[in-house]
Amino acid sequence: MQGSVGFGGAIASSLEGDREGLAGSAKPVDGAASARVATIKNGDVRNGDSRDSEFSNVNLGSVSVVSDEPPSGRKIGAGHSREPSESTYSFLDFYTSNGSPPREDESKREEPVQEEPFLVVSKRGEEPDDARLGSTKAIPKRTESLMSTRTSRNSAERIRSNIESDLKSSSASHLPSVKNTGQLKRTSFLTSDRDRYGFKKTSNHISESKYNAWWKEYSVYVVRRKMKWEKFMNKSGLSGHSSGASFKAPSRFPPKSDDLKRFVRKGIPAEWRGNAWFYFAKGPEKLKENKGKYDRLVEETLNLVNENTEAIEKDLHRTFPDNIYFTNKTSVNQETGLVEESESPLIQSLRRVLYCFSQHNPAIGYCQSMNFIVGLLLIFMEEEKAFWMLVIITERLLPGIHDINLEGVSVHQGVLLTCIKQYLPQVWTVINSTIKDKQNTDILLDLPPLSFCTTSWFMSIFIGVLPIESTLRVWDCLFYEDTKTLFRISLAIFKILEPSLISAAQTAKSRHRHSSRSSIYSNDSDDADMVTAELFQLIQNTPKTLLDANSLMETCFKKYNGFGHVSQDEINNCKKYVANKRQRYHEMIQKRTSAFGSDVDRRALSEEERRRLLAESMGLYADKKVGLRASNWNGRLSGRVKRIQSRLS
Amino acid sequence: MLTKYKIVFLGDQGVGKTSLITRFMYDTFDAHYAATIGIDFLSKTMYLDDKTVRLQLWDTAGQERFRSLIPSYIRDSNVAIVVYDTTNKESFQSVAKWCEDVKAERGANVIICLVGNKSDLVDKRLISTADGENTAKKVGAKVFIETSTKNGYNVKNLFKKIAKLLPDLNQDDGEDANDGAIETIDIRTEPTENAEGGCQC
Repeated sequence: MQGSVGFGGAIASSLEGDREGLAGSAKPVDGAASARVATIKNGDVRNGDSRDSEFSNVNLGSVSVVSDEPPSGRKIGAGHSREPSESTYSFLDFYTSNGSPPREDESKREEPVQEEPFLVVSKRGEEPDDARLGSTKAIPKRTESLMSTRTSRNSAERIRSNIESDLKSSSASHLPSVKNTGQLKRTSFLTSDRDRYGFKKTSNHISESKYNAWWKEYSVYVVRRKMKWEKFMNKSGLSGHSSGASFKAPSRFPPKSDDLKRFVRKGIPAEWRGNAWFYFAKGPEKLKENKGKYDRLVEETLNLVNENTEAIEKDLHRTFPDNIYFTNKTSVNQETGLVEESESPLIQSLRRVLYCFSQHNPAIGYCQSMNFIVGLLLIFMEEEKAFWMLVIITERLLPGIHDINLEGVSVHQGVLLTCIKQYLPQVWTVINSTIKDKQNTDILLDLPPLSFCTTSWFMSIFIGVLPIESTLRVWDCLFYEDTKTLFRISLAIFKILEPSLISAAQTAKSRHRHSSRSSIYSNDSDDADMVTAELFQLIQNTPKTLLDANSLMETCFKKYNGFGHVSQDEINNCKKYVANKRQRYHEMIQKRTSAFGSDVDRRALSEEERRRLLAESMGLYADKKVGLRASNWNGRLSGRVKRIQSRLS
Repeated sequence: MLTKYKIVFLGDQGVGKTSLITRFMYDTFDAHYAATIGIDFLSKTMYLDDKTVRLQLWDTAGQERFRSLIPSYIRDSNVAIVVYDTTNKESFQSVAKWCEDVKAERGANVIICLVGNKSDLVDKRLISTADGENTAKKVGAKVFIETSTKNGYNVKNLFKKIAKLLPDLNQDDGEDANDGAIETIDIRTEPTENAEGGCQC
């Protein structure tokens, strides 16, 4: 078992590093006690068969101890010579060139450049003990004092700044050396099993070789974009100082423009994302209006126990189990010999934000998927900002999506179906073939089963749907360009899916027809089932392979056959239309059920009643000519929207 | 041609639905799985002594508010596996509600299985096996079993039991419909119902 060190060591050194400009500051390793040195054997990392060892190996960003070697022994950094069999690195190594030499790329490998060591050691006693909190405390029960809450807020913030400095050192701030050792730097990342955000690189859908092949290209792109961003910011007079490593993440950004939009679509530098998202989503205003509110909520919810908090507790560790920052550390207590678990500071932050939100907005409380949203925010920004972002997301960007009845989800699915029908008619044909009783189904009221596949696209804003780098790019656009982004991206994904959906539907059907030719049971409905399962799998799994954010964006925004023209007005109007229609429908059902007793629900109505209801609903609010039946509904959405608009004005 | 069966997994948040599926599919276990949002789909072919079946596994989100989304999934499933956590009383109390949902959609046309998961957590157990059995009888579950997805206990058994209970959906045309290599291949392969499209205009 690897001995492990709490976040303390990592934080201490990274903080120090921040002050000193991180990668540059060489300090004598005097206090060996607080100097924690990362010594990780290659094999350990790769074979990490227990999550414990995986975790302790990749200590948060900087340093860890392995107990099978004397801690005083080896240091990474300047002049450290490596045995060929062993590589020694930490997270920072992915960006600084001191990392392990790339295995995959021996031919291009340059001699390790003698750089100053990045390992920065805090002097003993300089860091307050709380920085070491993580390692010494067992999982706190839900009776936290205000004091310990503050402390843990601090330590989470430090982790975040640690992440950020990692990210920062990944790109343009090290440009001069990138030229020399760029190859080495970028490829040194290839030896880790983690990406730069702490997520596992591989998944069931992405192999290590696929990831590495992509990252080799993409990391070059990331560095180039960062440079261009800095230039752009300078031109806009917003940077002040852009010399080398001291280019700080800007807290203000230029006013909206086509240029800026282009920049955002090509990706905001990862270490600026927190600030940029917050700024574009109008977070600063929200924060200003509500000064001190979050702190009060934290106090109020300290020992809160209710249905929401219980649900939150169940999900804290099920948020990003594949991310080191959201995994608890286990360590062996030297004195007692017992295995202790310490709760990750980001999980503590996650808890507070979700508790506070459930208190702040009891109508929503806690809804699964908000844990993912906050979790991702916390990697990029401190918890108070993350809280207000969640407020903005639930109030303004995705209203209704997380409501207690999830009606907003259905509305969004309806809008997406409408968009698909309008812009991807062939995909629509496929989806339509999964609807069983076409004559009597209004797809906006009775969503086809395939719609449930796209539930998480909206609820967790593509987290877990797309690979992380692509998800982040979507978020960049979302906060800059508003919610039309979600529909544009969804359409782009369906565009990518189009050929496979069409062929899958055809083979599924012909196979089915063939096998059950003689069966009297072969009918439309069987066909529909068969096709649904096949399509569901495709829609569910294909997005997980879309590693390259650039090609996703290209599909989405290219001039011809792209979806950049889908406007916010169009989406808003369509949303209004679908929401209104569904609401009226629900009201009708309610009226009916109150006549028949509360137990009767829509599904319990007879076929005849259902049909009548449907007809009524058509008459009530569908444009009669258009008649929104799945079978004959003409999707000239833009025209319809225009008509509605002109009628309104 | 494989006979396909639709199996839907229901139960409160965090009882181990995803874990159960993962143990069955890949025989692996993680302490934590990311929470399921909406519905996940997996399929697996199971080879039995006398037949081979294709199982479509539908994993659902456990939080109460997602229940409004799930009904259409239950609608045509052959099997509903209702899972509770043997260390969590609420999850056990919800069993009745989940079963009602199933029956509302499927009546008696569905095999309900009741699964008490996390049996490895002996010290934390709050629901006894007898309680589980009683409830199983009450809700009319055809299978009751306690499992531990952590150590793999009884997971295979569960699916074996289910497989034995699966109705023979192909009984009408018997074996000779299988693959029927001699049958002509249907060349009317879908002009994909463009008739009702006309969406391009």
